[in-house]
Amino acid sequence: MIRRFLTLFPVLIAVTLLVFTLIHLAPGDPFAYIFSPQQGEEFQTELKEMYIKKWGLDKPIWQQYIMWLSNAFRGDLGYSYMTGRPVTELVFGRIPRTLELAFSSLILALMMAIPLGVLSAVRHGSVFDRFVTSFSVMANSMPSFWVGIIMITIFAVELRLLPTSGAGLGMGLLAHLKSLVLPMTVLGLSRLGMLTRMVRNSVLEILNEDYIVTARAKGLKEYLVIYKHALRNALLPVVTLIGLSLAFILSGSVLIETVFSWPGMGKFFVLQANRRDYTTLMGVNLIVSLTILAAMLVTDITYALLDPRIRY
Amino acid sequence: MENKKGNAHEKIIEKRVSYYYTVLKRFLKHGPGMFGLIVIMITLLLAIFADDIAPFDPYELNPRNRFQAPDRVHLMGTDNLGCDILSRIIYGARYSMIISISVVIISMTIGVTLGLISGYYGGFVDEIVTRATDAFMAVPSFFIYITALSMWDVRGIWTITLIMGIMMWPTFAKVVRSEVLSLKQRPYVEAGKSMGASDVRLIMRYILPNLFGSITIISSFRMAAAILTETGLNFIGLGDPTICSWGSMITRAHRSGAQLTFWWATLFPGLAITIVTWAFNLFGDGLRDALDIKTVT
Amino acid sequence: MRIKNLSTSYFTDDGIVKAVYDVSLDLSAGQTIGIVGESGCGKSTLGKSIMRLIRPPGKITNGEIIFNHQDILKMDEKKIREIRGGDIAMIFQDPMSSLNPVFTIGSQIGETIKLHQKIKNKHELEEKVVAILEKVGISDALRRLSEYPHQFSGGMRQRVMIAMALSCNPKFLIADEPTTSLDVTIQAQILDLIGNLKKEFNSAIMLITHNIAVVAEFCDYVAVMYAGKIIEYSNTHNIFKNPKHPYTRAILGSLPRIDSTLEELTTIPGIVPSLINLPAGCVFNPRCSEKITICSEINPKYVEIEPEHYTSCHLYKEIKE
Repeated sequence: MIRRFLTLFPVLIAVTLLVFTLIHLAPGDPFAYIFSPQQGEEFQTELKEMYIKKWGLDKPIWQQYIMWLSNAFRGDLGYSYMTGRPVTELVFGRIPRTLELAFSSLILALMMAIPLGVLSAVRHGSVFDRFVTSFSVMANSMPSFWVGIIMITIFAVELRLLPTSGAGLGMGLLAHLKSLVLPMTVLGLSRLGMLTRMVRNSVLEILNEDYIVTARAKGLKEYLVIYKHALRNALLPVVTLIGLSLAFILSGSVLIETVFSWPGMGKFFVLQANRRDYTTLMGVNLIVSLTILAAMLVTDITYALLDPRIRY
Repeated sequence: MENKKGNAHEKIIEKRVSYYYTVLKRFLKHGPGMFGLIVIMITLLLAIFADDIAPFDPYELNPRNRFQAPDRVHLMGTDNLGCDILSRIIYGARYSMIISISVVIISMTIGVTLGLISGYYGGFVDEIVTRATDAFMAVPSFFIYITALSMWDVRGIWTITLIMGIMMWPTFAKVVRSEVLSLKQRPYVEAGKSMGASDVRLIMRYILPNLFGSITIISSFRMAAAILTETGLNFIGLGDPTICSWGSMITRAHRSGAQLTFWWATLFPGLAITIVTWAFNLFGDGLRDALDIKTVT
Repeated sequence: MRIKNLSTSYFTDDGIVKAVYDVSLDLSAGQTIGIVGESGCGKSTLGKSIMRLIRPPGKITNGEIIFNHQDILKMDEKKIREIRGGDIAMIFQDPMSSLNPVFTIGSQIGETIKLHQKIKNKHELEEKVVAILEKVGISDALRRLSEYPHQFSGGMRQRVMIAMALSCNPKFLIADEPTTSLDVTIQAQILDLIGNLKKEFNSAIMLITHNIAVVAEFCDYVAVMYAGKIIEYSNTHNIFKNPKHPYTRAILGSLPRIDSTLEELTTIPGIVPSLINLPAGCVFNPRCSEKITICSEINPKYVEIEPEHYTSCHLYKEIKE
C-alpha cells in the first residue's frame, strides 16, 4: 500500500519533467505574445531583460527546473506571466468547476453503463445485446466536441430548454445545474461506450464461473444469482477502470469546456496556452496529473478493500 | 534425410497458410468487421485520389456562393467562405489519413520496441518501461498536446504528428509486453535458445511474428483514437490553419453562427469523423474476433 | 427417484452433442449409486440434468424424472427452485471455483438455510451454520464463519461445500467428482464423511466419478456410462465379480491389482467417439474386442439380463419373465 503511494512521486516528477522539456525545447519565442507591436524596440528590450532576470530565464535549464520543482513542493507554483497573479490562485479558483463536470460525467456514465452492460451480458446474443454493443462502438467513435455543438444547437438554441453556456458567478443553484446538464451528458457519452463494453465483458466472464452454477443449485432466484453473486465479482475489475476513465474524461474536458464555455481549468488552459504563459501551463499540468494519480490511487485502494482475496 | 526435412518444412508452411486462411474466412463472415474494412478502403481511395475525385478546389473562396444548401452542384453545400464542402471533406480525408497513419507508425515503432525489450529482458529495464507506461497513461494527453503545440511556432502537419506519436505508444508497449511475457515461456522458444540462437534472433524470428495479429488490432484502434485526437486539436485551432481538416471545418461552421440553418457545414465533417473512426473500431473488433485474441481491449 | 429415458443434448454451431442418451435409473432412500465413466461420457451432464441446471445451448430433450411422485421435468420454476438445495442438493468437483470468492462461507451456507428453512433470525441462522460446519468436521466453526473461501485448504473447502449441500437435509445428494481435485489422503476422509452423513440423514447419493476404485468401496449400485449411454448397471458385487459388457470388462482389466500376476495392463484401443458423430450401431463397437456383425448395425437395447443386472449389448439376452 505504502509502495503504491511512493510510486506516485517518480511518476509526478516524470510528468513535470516531460512538460518542462516540451516547453523549453520548443522553437518558440517565449515573449512572442507578451508585447504588442506598438511598444517600441527599446522598451521591449528593456522589459525583456528585466523579465529574464526576474524569472531566472538566463539560468541553465536544469537549474530552472530544479527551482520550479522545489518551489512547487512548497506549494508555490510561481506567477502567471500574463496576469501576474499567483498560479495557485488561478488554478485552484477554477478546479472546482472542472472537477464538478468530470465527476458528474463519470457518475452519469457509470449509472448508465452498469445496467446496460449487465443486461446485455445476461441477454447475450439477443437483439438488445447486439444493439447495445453497436451503440457502444458508435458512441466511442463520435467526436465529443461535435456532439456538443449538435446538442447545443438542438437543445439550447432550437428548443431553448437549456442554456448555451456554462455557469457564471452568482447563478442560482437551479440555473447552475441546468447549465451542467448538457456538458455533463456529452462528456459522459464519450466514455459510455467503453465502460458498457467493459461491464458486459466482465459479467459475461463471471457468468461462466462455477460458483454461479452452485448458486443456482442452491435454488436461488435468477435475479439474485445475477445481481448478488455475479455482479459483486464482475464489478471488481471495473473499479480499476474508473481511474483510467477519469484521466480520459479530464483530458476531454478541455474540448467540452471550450465548446460550452464552461469556466473550468480546461478552457482557461487553452487560453493561456495560446498566450504561452509558461508558469500557468506547468502549474495546470502538475495539478491535473496530480488529480489523476490521486484518483488512480484511490481506485486501487478501493479495489484492494473490496476484494477479500487481497485483504486477507 | 533430405526428403524428410523438406516434407516437414512444407508441412509447417502449409499449416501457417491454412491458419491464415481460416482467420481470413472467419473475418469475411464478420459483418461489422467487413463494413469497417470497406469504409477504410474507400477513405484511403479518397485520400489518395483526392485531386481527381474532388469536384472543386477546396480552398477556392467564392463569396457569392456562401451558405449554399446542398444541391446538385454542391452535393454537400458550401461553407461561410463559399468553399465546396464535399471537396473539403475529401481533402480532409487525405489530411487525417496522413496524420493518423504517421502517428500510428511512430507510436507503434516506439511501443513495440519498448514492449519487446521490456518483456523479453525483464529486470531493471522492465521496471523503467512499466513505470514510463503508467506515467504516460496517467498523463492528461490533451493538456500535453496543447502545451507542446502552443509552444511550437511551426504549425505544420508534422508537429502534430510528432507530438501525438510520442504520446500514443503506451498501449502498444503494454499489450506487446504481456504477450511477450507469455510467449517467452513457450517450449519452442526454449528450444531455439538451446540451439544457440541469439537474443535478437529469438525476438525477431520467434516471438515477433506471433505478435502481428495483436499489433494490427491495436493499430486499428489507435488509428481511431488518432483521428479523434487530431480533429479535436484542429478544432481548437492548434493544427495547421492552412489545411482543411475535418476538425477545423467544424470550427469554421461553429464560428459563423447560424448553426441550425447552416446545418450542413457542421453535420458533414462530424459525420465523416464518426464514420471513419467507427470503421477503424469495427475493423479492430472484427480482427480480434477472427483471431480470437482476448488480451486486447 | 425414478429416471426414465432421459436425454439431454447441446445444440452447438458444430452440431448436436448428445451428452446423455436414453438413460434410465432407479434409486431409493439410503442407497448409493456410482456413475462411472471416462471424461466426456456425459456423467456430469446427467447430474446437472436431474437438477435442471442445464442452460442453453443445452436442453433436456426427452424423459421423466419422478421424484416424490412428481416429474421434475414438468415442474414450474418456483417448484424446482424449492427442490434445489432443499430436497435435492449437489456438490461439485472443484471447491475453489465452486464457492463465491467474495462472500464469507458463513453467509454462503446461511443463504441456503435462510432460503429453504425460512429462518429470519440472525442468531438462529448462525447457530445452524455453526452446527452443520461442526458436523462436517470443521473445528473452531464460529470463528471460521467470517472467513473467505481462499482462506481454507482444498479438503476444508470441500467440507464447506458438503456442509452447504447437506444444510437442509436433502433426500438426494448428487456428488460430481467430489474427490478428484483432492489429495488421496483427503479423499478418503471426505468419502468417509459423506458416508457417515448418509447414514445419519438416510439420503440417497449419486456419486459421479471416473475412479472405479472409489465406487467399489462406497456404492451399493454402479452404472457404467459410455458416450452418453449407460452400458451396464448392477449392484457393486455383480459389476466387479461378474462384469458382462466388454467395456466394463476392459476397464476392470486395466486396473492394476495386487493379487493378479498379469504382466501388462490391458488398454482399450482407439479413442472415445465425438458425441456429435456417434458411430452406427452400438456406440462402443469400433473399439470392442468381442463384437459381432450386428454390433455395427443396430443399437442394442438396454435390458435386464440377470436379476438386478442390466446391460446394453448384443452378446446377452434379456431374461424372460
